[in-house]
This record gives sequence, C-alpha cells and structure tokens, in this order.
Amino acid sequence: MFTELVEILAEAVTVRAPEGEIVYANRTALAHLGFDSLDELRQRSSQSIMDDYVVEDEHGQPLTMEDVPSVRLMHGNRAEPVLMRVVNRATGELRWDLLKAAAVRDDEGRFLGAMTVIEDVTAVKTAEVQTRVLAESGRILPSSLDYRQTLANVTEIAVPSLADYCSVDLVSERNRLERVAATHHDPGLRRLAEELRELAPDQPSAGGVGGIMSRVLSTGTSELYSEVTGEQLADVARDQHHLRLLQELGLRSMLIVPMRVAAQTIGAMTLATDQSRRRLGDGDVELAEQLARRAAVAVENARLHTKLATVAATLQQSLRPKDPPAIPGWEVASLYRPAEIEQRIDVGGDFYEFFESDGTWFLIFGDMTGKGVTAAALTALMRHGARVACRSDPAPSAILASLDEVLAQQAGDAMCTALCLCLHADHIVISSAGHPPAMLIAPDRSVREVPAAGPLLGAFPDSQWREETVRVGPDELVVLYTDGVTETPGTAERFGSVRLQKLLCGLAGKPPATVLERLDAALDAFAGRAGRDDVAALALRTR
Amino acid sequence: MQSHFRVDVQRNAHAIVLAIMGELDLSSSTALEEEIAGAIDSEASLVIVDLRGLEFIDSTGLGVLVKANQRALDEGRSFGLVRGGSQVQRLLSLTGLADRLKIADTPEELIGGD
Repeated sequence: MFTELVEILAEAVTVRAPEGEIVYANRTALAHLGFDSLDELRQRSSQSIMDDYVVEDEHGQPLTMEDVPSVRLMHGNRAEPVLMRVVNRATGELRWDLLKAAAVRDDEGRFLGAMTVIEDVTAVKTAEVQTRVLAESGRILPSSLDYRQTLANVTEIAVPSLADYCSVDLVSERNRLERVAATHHDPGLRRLAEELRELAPDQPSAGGVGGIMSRVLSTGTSELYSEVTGEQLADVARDQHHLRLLQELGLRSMLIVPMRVAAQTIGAMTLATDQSRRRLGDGDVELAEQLARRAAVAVENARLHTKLATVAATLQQSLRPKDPPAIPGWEVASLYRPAEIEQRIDVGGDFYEFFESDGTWFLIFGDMTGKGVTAAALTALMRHGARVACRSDPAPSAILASLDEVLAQQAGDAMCTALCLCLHADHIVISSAGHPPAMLIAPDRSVREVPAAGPLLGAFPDSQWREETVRVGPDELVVLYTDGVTETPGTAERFGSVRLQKLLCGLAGKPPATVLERLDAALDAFAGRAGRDDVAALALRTR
Repeated sequence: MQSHFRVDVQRNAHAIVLAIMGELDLSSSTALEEEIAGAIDSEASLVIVDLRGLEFIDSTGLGVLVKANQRALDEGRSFGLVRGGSQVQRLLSLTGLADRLKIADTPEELIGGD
C-alpha cells in the first residue's frame, strides 16, 4: 500500500539502505535520474551516478556524496535539506534539486534506511537567478561613469550564475575590437582566461572567434554554440596555442550576444561554459541579451558624458574671462566666481575684458541679467563687442553706446550693467551703465565712488552715457565689483555696500591681489551655508 | 536668510495694482512676469507695480520692471511704480531707471494723475 502510494507521487522518492546503496526509487525518481527501471539503477553505485553530474551548492561550491542528506543520516548525522545545482555532464542540462531526507526505523528504533524526497525547483531557481542578475546589473550599471570598471562588474554578475566565463569586447573608434573585461569562475583557470584575453581578436574581420564576433557585430544577432565540437573548437581557435588553451579549459558552450544601442552595435558580450559542463540554451540567450543591452546603454551613457564634459570644458574656456593681461603702469588682480554649475559648465553672467587701442588700455566690466550658460553666452558678445567698438571710437561712453545697440538687436530681453574704463598713467576715464560704482580707496582710507549712474544696457531705446575723468593717486585702490558681492546673502541680511566699504578701507594700501583674496574670504565667511551668487571683482592700482 | 515673495493684485475700473512683497530676484521674477503679462492683457488702462512691500530687488528683478514698462507702452497702457524702500530706490537710481520710469509715492497719485 505504501509503495503504491509513493509510486504515483509527483515528487521523486528514493530509499537508501543502511549499506549505502539505493534500493528503491519511484517512477518520478527513475525518470529524474535517467533510468528505465529500478534494476538498471541498482546496477550502478551511488558514487558513479553522482559522477555523471557536476553537483554544486547554490554558491557554486562543489558537493560530494558526504553532503547528500540520506548519506548523512546513514552516518548518523543530522540532515538538513540541501539545494543542489546539478549539471548533467552528458547533456549539459542544468537542474536545481531540493533534497530532503528522513530516517526510516523499525519499532525498536533500528535504522532501516533513509528516504529522500527530491523536489525539482529548476523553474523557480532559474527565474530567481534571472531576476537577481538583472537586479544586480540594474544596481551596478548606473553606479559609475568609468565604464571599464562597470563592465568588469557586469562580467562578475554573469559568472557563475549565467556561465563560467564572461568577457566584453567593445568596438573602438578606429573600428578595432578591444577586450574591456573578462572573468572566469574558477580562480585556477583565471590564468587561462587571461591568456585567452591576451589572444583576443583585435580585428573584427579576423577569423576564428573574430569571425563569429564580426558576424554578431555586423548583423546585431546573437550566435549560440550550445555544444562546441572539436571541429568548431579548431575553427574558433586563432592558432595552435589558442586551441590548446580552449581544450584545456574544456569549452562546452559559447554564446556571443551583441551590445546594442538603438540601431548601433557597439560591442559584444561572450559567455562560455567549461568546467560546469553546463549547456547554454535559448533561455540563456534571452537573459544574456538583456544584460548586454543594459551594459551597452551604460557604456553609451558614460561615453556621452565624457564627450559632453569635453564640450563643456571647451565652452567654459571660451566663456570665462581670462586672467587680466600685464598692463604697463598698472597692477591688476581679478576674482571670478560663478554661482551655478549648469551642465558642468562653470560660468555665469559676470564678465570683464581688457583690450588695447593705440597703446591705451581699456576695460569693460559687467553683469548680464540672468544666470548660467545663457547669460554667459551674451557676456562673450559684450566682451568681443567692446573690443570691436573700441577700434572705431576709443571712448568709454561710445563703447557702452555700441554695446547697448548690440544688445538691443539680440532676441529676448537681455539687459546688462557695465562699467567701461580707460586706464591712463595717473587717471581713469570711467562710464557707467547702471552698474554699482567703482570704489576708490586712498591710502589714508578716504573713499570715493565713481561715476554717477547711467542707464542699463539693452533697457531703453535712446540712452546716452556720460564720462568722468578721475585722478588716481599712488597706492590708491580702484575696486570694481558686481552686485553679487553686495547681495551675498548672510544668515540675517545681505553683505551690502556699507560692509564692503568698511572691509576695503581696512585694506587700504594693500596690493590688489591681497585685497581680493580677503574679499573672497570675507564673502565666504559671511555667506556661510547659504551659498553665494555669481561674484566678480577687479582691483587695480597704478605703479 | 529666507526669501518670501508674494504678489497681491487689486483691480478697479481703470487700473490694476500689483503689490509685490519680499524679494524679487531670479527665482521670483517669473511669477511677477506672469502677473504683469496678465495685467497688460486685461482691460485696465493703467498697470501699477507697488514696490513698498519689496525688501530686495536684484538686476533680474529690475529687468522685469523695464520689460513690463516697455510692453505696457507697446500695448497702449500706462505703467507706473510706487516708490519702494532704500535698497530698491538705490538700485533704481543706480541703473538709471528712476529717471526713466513713472514713479509716485502712492497708487492713488498715479491713478489720479493718469
């Protein structure tokens, strides 16, 4: 009765005698182990049956007879359920078995044998592995812009869950293939895998693996070699040395999947099995393709980012004011601190430019309304516009009038405040377009603010600007600043012009560079955690 | 330092008064631009921006006022400001706007004189 019941169970059931051999297996168990009858099974030793399989735990550690629950019971040990990853050496089929065993005893408690129930959990575990691989890749792929490291991490996810070996080749700019990452499951075989890496095809057009890869790259279609034959191995190998390495690895299955971004194939991912004896199949292709697609997107993002960063750096270079040039008779220092970093471009609406006409130096210093790249692009217009204007009429008021015209022609409602100066040996000619006046600080700490306000640039159709001629004494500081300085927000109030004036008075007689260093530090201290706006300042004195 | 910005709108038969409070800078200027655009599109013949409650204005904020003046005139409306505090007035005169825009001490003054 008991036997009949067990016989029709969907679970595989075996009974191991105290001597150690399997004495009973139900129909499901026989089918599971690949035998037609119990007699056929009983002709084989348990060890030889186990040798037909590569048996590992779920972490990829090899399991032996001694780990089998029924064998443990037989030896008088406790037997916890064991999850086994089993690969049939002959067919390469992968299975997940959950083994649970219980001792069978007679009424006197004598050990009669161990009964094992084998539950096939392949479907559940396969789904679990797939989910884990994709989840881990989702976590790793966006984590770094160093795509080489990212791809190395991806190959480590694929091994050993998906395959024993995983490598990634990318098509470089010169249409060469570059092996970017490779991982092998067995540390002892890493060396071989490394050597294979050395032998990696560097030309998509080369034969062997290169030939397969070349096809994958050009067609964008995966190629699966479930069972690599000796003949194919010779085809795949680049030369005799390569062939020996592949034989030593015991290559079984090989799968090359394209790494695609939109319609473009940027590389290929290779998966291979050897020591695990696992055969890769269609299910693996699907998962590998998903992994490769995600990796491709990550690579493309990283590359795009690098490209953008280069563009940003170039743009920033052209939009940022340069360090002031050497101007005969004048000592000049500058401070330029844009507040916002937009698209990694560290620029703002503040600007200055020094230019020369017939041996006389001019200076435009200003603040474009708005912030970031948009404002910065217009500052370039102001800087170059001032240079051009100076050629036809080298006077501060005329330069401002010309810039006003240039700005009015711009689309949008760009407005700008500016000071324009002409630097002479002992005096300046200065004109203002709505800009905070320059502060002149004499060594005796007396302060002057010049010039009187004129209209903003780009604001009114019929503006005019006046010029003031101001004598600058020896060691007298001329400080120009944008409203970002006085508007720097502190915890309770803004920095303000009174605080600025007090600070500058304390620095009377100091070199321009020192004055701006102190100003910068003071603004930092004042702003605290509140952060700072765009800030620019120039300090000048005659020498 | 906290930046509060608010616009109170009052309409009567001829005029719209936008009383702005707090800080008018890059972050708040868009809100004011929208209110002003709405006011200019309305039936009102006079648009007034009351600066008395304004604690701070920067160059972007000034830009909004200049643009508003230009648009209102283009649309055949009158535009005026009610005088603000010292920081606001200092910046208006520094930028030459004080000479160019119609400025009064109260909205009534602007409405009466219109």
